[in-house]
Amino acid sequence: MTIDVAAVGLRLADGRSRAPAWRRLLRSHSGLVGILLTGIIAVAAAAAVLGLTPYDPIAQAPIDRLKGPSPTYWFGTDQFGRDVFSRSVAGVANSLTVAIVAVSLSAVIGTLAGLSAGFFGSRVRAPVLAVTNVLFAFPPLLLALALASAFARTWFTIAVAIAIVYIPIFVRVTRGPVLSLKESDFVKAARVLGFPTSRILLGHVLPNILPIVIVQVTLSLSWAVLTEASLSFLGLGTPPPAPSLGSMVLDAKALADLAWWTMAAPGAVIVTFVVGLNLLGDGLRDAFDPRSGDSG
Amino acid sequence: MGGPALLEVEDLAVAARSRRGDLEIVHGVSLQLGPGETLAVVGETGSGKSLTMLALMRLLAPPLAITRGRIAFDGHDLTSLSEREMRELRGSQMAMIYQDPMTSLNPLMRIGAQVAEAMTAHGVANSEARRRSLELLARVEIPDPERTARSYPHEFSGGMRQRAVIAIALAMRPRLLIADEPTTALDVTIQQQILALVNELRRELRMATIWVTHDLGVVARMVDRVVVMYAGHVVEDAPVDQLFHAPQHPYTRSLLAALPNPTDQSRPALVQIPGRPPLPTEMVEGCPFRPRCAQAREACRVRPVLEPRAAGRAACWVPVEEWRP
Repeated sequence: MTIDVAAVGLRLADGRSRAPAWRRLLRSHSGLVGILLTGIIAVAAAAAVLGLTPYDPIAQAPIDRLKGPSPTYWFGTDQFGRDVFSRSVAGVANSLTVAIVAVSLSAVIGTLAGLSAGFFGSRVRAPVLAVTNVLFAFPPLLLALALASAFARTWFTIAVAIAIVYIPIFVRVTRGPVLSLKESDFVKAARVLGFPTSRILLGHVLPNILPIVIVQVTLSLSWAVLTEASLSFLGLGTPPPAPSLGSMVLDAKALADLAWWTMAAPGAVIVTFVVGLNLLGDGLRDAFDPRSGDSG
Repeated sequence: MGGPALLEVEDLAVAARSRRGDLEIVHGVSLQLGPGETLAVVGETGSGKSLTMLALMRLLAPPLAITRGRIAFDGHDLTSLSEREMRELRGSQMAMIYQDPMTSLNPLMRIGAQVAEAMTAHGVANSEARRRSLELLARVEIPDPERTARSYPHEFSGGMRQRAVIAIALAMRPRLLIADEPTTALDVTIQQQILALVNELRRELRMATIWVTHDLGVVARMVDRVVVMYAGHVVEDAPVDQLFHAPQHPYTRSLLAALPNPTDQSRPALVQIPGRPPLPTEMVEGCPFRPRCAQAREACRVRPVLEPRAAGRAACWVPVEEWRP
């Protein structure tokens, strides 16, 4: 009798169960397009890292200066005869490296800070939130500019500068959910069971905010790519001669009348990548949202 | 009571602390529980019963705090233990099951892993914990434990989840189980199954159990003694038979009179106690039940103390023989 009732309950519940998040992601339009666009760019960047570009991105070929797009040079050449396609792809790789390092740093630091600010009392919360608010008050580009000019200009400095700018976002995004999770019955239950605080935080609270962190990482990646491009465009980004999307646009500024492709190519790559990441972020958010149905 | 008590609470007070002073919510609760004994703590919402239980486990969150009293558990004075020592007791020596099984499991962890974690957190090896978690799931009558251990909570019904919660609470064979209204959120048909299951396991493991409830009917058949709380005070503490047949406090009598009795045609279907319990912020002079009490008289302006009465204790100045009907 007992078993019967329980078994019926289980079957009913089974019928209600939802598809896993990744399958719901593939079913949504924005998710699919986002994966496709970011995938193309990521594969190209990976190829560039492995040296699989059609030409050496910094090799100059003076004879072939300012050639338009052609079967030989897909995106044309710049004023030194360097292949714009190879440089764009290598530039994505550089920009992406900076963005990934920056966002990883800020995600890890910001999430841990958000966890502790949400979970612990005012002695931890107050200083964390104070620092967060101060960082929030800085215009992102300005803080990155200051840091990039104050320290040696390597790609890592740029990454750290961008990371600092994005830490507060992760603190804010994670602290709210942690506050409500702290009061949830299963976290209280974990305390009743005598679990140590570290186990409660890392084993029970963190996994439940991970979807939020993943979505935020995707969106922050796109902003970080933009910030890196902006810094390079202002001459404070990845140092030359390493190609960077921002400095390519800067170089192309003077040539805009002569060779539109030198500006169009890196610009198009930036737009494709940022749009792709944003769509992917939207798709992920919908896929993780427990309120979204299975219809999409 | 016979033999040393497992749990002995003396004059336990809980207050909400603030800069303007303490607001006392639980006013000096005393209770005792022998090994394997079952006790029901009954009272209306806000009578301080759940707060008292949280205080027992030293889990009050600020601004709530224990302001006085002594909690002796198995020879330890819980009020003087460090947080670390307390953590070792929680889950292994004292466990709790709660009202709402829908929210008391981690939605992202498999059921089996959650049962096992209750043991690994207290030093049981992983393989051993895994093996015992399957036994436990089978013991709480969850069908096909091998398979269900791999399920997530959302795949379970309310009754099944409560069974899993029970398995988790009992994983370390605690000596004291606190059941805080464990059936309130369940369907009536499931309630009886869960009550019977807990009662059976309690006997099997010889656990002392405290049932926290506002439903006298639920516990009447399975407890040894009942403690009645009103507005943060224990007003009566008596063996279950005496409590039902010869209540020693007017509040207990009113509670019993309020139980629906469909066979008695001579009285209205639902009897109420007039008025409402005082809020912690409202000072009642003397006995806290005085404003609602049919027996109240001049003597009640002085706060009564819990004194032996018949086979139990009650906090009332008026002898039962002098009660008006």
